[in-house]
Amino acid sequence: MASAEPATIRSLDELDLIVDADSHVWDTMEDLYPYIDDKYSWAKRMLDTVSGHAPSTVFKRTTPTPEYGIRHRGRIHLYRDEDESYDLDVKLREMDDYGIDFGILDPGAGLDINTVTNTQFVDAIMNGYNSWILDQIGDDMPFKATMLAAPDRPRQSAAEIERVGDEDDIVAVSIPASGIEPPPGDRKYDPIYEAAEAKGLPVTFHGSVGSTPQAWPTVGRNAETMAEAHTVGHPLSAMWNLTTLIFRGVPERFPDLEFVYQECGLAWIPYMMWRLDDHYLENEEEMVMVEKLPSEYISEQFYFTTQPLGHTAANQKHLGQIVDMIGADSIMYSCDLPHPDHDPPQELFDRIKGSLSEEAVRGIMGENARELYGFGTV
Amino acid sequence: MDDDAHHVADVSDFADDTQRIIVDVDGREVAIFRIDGEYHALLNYCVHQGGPLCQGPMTGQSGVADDGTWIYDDESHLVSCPWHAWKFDIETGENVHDSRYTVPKYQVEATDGGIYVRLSE
Repeated sequence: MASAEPATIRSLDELDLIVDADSHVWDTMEDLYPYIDDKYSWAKRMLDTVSGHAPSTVFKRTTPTPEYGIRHRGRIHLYRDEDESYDLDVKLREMDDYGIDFGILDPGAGLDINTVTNTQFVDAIMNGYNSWILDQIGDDMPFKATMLAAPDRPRQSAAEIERVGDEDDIVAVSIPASGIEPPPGDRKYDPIYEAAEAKGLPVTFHGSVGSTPQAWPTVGRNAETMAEAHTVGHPLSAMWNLTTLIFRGVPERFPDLEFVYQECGLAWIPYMMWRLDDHYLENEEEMVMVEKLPSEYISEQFYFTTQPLGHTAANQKHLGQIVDMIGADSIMYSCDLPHPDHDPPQELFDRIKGSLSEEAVRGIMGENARELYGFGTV
Repeated sequence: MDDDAHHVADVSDFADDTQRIIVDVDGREVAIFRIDGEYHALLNYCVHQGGPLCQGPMTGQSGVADDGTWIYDDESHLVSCPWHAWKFDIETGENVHDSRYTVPKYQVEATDGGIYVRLSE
């Protein structure tokens, strides 16, 4: 058990490896455009007229109040350059500040690709993002990346996995997790899961508050503030996605596929493990795709990144207890740079160092990510 | 029959294969099921939360065919607890989803028109 012996690590400095398992890039249309293959000539002609994150003309993301608005006026990033760019060199300065050794890069704007209704744009953006991210990672940089898949385009996503899935710098397939219609347990997505499993790549699910209303219309119609929408957006998506994945037999159909949940924190997971198991045991007639307790699939095939932990400071034991209930081997530290709700490593470390074993702490802070994604030190 | 064998019913008490009889054997409620001419005895106690398991419906089992079609196999013989619908295999006492949950079963035999249960192994 993870809590059987106290940790002997007292300082972050004693850790050999700290990995941010959810580190976002800032992927503007200007960035991606030069990397979109010329075969998407129609889309390129149209996309040449848009800029930034194109939140209404290409992506259809909505929030009730400005997303980071007044909290971070002009300073979404800690070290945003004067020209407002946020490239990997800026990210490295942030990581150095926090003592983070390695980052798993995830899309930014690309996480809303499931709000793009023009199918030609979807294919072009996916293609451009995957070529662009590969070109951003220099030879000596401490980064690996998830590649972008578009849930609404399963066959085209599978082709993208085939195109770039063998690249050394690609370690997972990122599936935008909010507003997926139908939910990710649907067989529609099997080509993505099949391609990812064949390449030995985990699939990561990362939500976005702006695309949440696609699957949860009341959030879009009735949330009065960004705080309301953000509080429920990620957990609603994660709980629904996890439920459909397991009850519709995705981990059963793809037993060698691993799933990573990002951006939802940890405390919801034990609740869902109990609840899924309970419904499995009480609804035999509906569990035709499920061969074992949902919590067993979760232990064997699912991973969870830690950010946002929530306000855990009031009690020094509770977070360690949550980790113990989930299983320390399934948990990976994430910072979520550069977003304003990020968790520095100390935020997590201080809450778990006193109640988990040294091995568990080292695993959560970095070694679990290295083992899952299969990268060495840089 | 030896002294451990409790006479709990007669064969003539069972009109068909879907019937069950619940009897008191030395203070324990035991259900006698007849399936395809074979008799099975389970404690009338759900190991989930103590519900009267054997008074719940007898069902077959859901499953999935090779082509993905959802099917219902009425050759399986499960009993479903009336409290939370946890289902147990009448022949083994095991929960259909998790064999760590198993209801005590007892030896039962039909001899000379009588049905006998042994509480000991």
